[in-house]
Amino acid sequence: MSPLLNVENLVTWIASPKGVISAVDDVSFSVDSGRTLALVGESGSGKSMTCLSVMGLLPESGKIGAGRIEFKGENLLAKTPREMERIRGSQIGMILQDPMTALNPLFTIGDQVAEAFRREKLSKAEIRDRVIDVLRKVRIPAPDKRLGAYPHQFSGGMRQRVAIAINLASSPRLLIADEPTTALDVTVQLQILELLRQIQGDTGMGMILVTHDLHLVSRFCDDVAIMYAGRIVEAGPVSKVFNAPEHPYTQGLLDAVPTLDQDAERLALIPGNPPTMHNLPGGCRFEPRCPVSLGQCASEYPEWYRLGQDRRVACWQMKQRIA
Amino acid sequence: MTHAFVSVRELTKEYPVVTGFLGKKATLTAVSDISFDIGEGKTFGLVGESGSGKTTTARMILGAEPATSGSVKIDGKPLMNEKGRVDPVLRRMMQPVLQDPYTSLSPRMCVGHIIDEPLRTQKLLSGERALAQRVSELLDMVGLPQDAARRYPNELSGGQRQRVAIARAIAPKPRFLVLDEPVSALDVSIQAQILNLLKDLQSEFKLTYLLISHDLSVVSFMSDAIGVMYLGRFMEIGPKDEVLRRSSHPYTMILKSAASTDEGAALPISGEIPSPLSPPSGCPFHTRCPFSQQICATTQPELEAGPAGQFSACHFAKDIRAGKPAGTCATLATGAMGR
Amino acid sequence: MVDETGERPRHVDVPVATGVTDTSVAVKAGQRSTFWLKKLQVGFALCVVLVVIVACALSDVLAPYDPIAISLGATLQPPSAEHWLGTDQLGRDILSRIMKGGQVSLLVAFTAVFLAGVIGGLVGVIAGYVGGVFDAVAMRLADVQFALPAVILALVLVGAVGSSLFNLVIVLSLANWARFARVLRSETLSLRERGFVELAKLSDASTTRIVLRHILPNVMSTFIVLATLDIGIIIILEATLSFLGLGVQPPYPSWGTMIADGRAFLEQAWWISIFPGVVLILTVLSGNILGDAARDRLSPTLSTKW
Repeated sequence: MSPLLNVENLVTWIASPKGVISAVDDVSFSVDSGRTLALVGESGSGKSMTCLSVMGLLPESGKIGAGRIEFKGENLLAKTPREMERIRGSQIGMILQDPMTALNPLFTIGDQVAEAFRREKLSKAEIRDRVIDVLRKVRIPAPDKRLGAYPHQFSGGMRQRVAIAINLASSPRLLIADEPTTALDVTVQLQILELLRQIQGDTGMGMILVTHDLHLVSRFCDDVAIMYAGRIVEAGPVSKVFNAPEHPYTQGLLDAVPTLDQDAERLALIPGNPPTMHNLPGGCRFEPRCPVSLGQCASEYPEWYRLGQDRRVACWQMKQRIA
Repeated sequence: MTHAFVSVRELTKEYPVVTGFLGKKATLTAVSDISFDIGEGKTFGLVGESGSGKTTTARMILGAEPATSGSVKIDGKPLMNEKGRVDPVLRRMMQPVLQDPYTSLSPRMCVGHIIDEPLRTQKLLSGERALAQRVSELLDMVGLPQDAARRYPNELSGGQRQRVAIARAIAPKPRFLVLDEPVSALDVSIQAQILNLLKDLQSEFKLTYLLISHDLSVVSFMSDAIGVMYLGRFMEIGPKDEVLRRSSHPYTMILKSAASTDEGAALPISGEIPSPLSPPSGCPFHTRCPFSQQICATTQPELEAGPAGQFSACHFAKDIRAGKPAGTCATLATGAMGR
Repeated sequence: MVDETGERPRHVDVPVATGVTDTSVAVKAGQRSTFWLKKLQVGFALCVVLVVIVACALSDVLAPYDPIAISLGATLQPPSAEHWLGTDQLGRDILSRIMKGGQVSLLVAFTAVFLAGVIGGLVGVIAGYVGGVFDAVAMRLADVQFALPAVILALVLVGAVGSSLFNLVIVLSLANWARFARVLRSETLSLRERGFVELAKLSDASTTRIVLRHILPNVMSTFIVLATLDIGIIIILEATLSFLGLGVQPPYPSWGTMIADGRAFLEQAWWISIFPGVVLILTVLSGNILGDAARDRLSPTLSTKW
């Protein structure tokens, strides 16, 4: 069976004042129905650009340079802007970090959710029922009374629920959530992710969760792809990757997060800063910060090494380990 | 215990607000009756969600905002002198580090001048050569290259900017730093670098820290004592291990479960922090508390001492400590307590 | 298609789609051309402004004729090899007069913008930072200035104090300071809340120091943009006043008086009014283009880099 979304060797270029950079470089992953893939990386690692590429929503300065994006077996890159718009309206949903950007401050919540039902020929009362139904699904208390409210009357968490409701209205097969809870308080974060997971359980949609928060990944995601400087360095099921990270960057990242039950005096850390995209190292992009780099690393980008069926690591260290 | 270097007593901040079209006057209580001590060379962590009053508390301690009532003493001296101004000696002794390194550094000033500004304004050092010498030492201390002094903030990464902010803060040789979300704007790998740097500086210069964060794991890594705030009040306060290992307030337990990677530990919590303009009656947390009982809605619990220097403002703190969960939510509480 | 080891040139100047046949996600072709158009515009504007400034500043040396020398034997001559832009009703060379007139116009405009900017800017920054009574009074005064159309205000003032170059400069600055005050005040208000101002305050920096070291450098780019845009407005205002006879007095030319003088001869000798008019329009237009370019260049640093 082919996966819901299959991205192969995606390259996305962004024109910037300092020249063209490959914000996304040779990225491949797939998402199955009912599963959640976490795209993890630090700022500038290309995770958001990957999502925008899939959605066909790159900024004007962006361009897909190479690769394939297949959704339900169809090549999204061959779609016209209008077809993409239809797919976004019905098949692929997207939730952004700041729900305020997705909501129009001049329209009521009810109107904005109802927008999704406009295409179907329904009576006003039917639309209203559907809207209330969807709002109830995202656990907005007393939805029938909140229809006339404006976004600014809602708290951050409630707004994000409305944004989710708008997406759900068209029952998408794939939901891309780009840092959906970063702006929210921890206790609200959990509620929103819990909600998304329950909806996923009901509808069987696939999800991509873009985040930098490793706690959330381990709690809510099935698969994870770790991105560094535009490339995926390690990918696989969350449990396996987090329990036995193979790439030095993944290891460093996991060690750098303080946890509640450690008593360490110092945190293990990755020295240095991520490279700027204009000035990438010639070989492995992590090499300048890597504690275990080999001679080869500085000159050649590592090949993919596969561990079992579902894990892959891009690190020359794996060569010896596997051999 | 070491003597209290920073001593905060019954600190309260109220803002008069005007609501609605009719201009009804109301009082917003941002911080209510906060007391704590920080021993010299120790770190006190303030945790809470947005709107919990932690930043207001910090601003009052810095003297950036006058307190409505209550007192702050630093090194045994009252923060405010008779004229209602911050004691100049104390002001020199404490320095803030702000959350966002993108707005806390002037974009049109080079790093060298950003760092030496407090030295110039407080006339601690004079002469360009002496200042340059000190800047170069400071750059060294925070792990920045010497040529950074002539750079401008927009040429630096977020982590480097935060290092500049720290260099600036320690420039006047303060004894007390107020760290307001020092790493929350940074990437994970950079966060760890900054946290380690702060720890190193603390042990080298015997600095006292007040650390403010919404991230319990950051607070737990850095702090000796922790205060958990909710709607301007302490829910629980005490030594780190007591608060984290033997939590006796449901809110602490929930924050803990949120910061844990373990799925099974999740405690249910509903809703969001209520508006401080219309705080709930009784216990401020009762509207979201999974263990809430009748008494919680009517009577506000006082901070009560537990066995090991920890205080908790929950009617059922004793029960929770004893492993006897309040009310009917037996499984939930034990689930969270076991760890 | 790219292979997995990443054998691909690192620096690509012009992205060429290798595996993509589709155009929907490609960079919009129009973007590139508007980009060039913009560059062309700015280049053009820069040339115009430079030529005008050089020609006007050095008019005493460069001008082919004495701009005020009357030559009754050569009145109302059309453009020719001798008089490139023709002569007026008194036989004065138009080109020389445009150059000399520009000297006056530009000098007045630059001085007035400078004065208006310094006064308005300082008032705005202080009003924004200090607030209180000063702020209230300054902003009401600005409101008054906004409520009176600049030309009328200038007319009244010139009528009251009489017309001289000095008075003209003062009048033009008084008619333009409020824009600077308003914009820089709001800029200051937002800067005041920034972390670095807060930090400076907490380290006992004096108000003067905060204004000089933290506020002023950060409103400079806005100031430059405003000033560039304002020059065009002031040149036009000056021309209007001169046109109405309240600006530069004869025999000295200014673009405004030249256009006014030529009105009576439009049918027989269009060049008297048209050429100064064209130069005026070109200069103001170029000034505005440069102002916009300055804004594009300087304000991204305000929003994104901070």
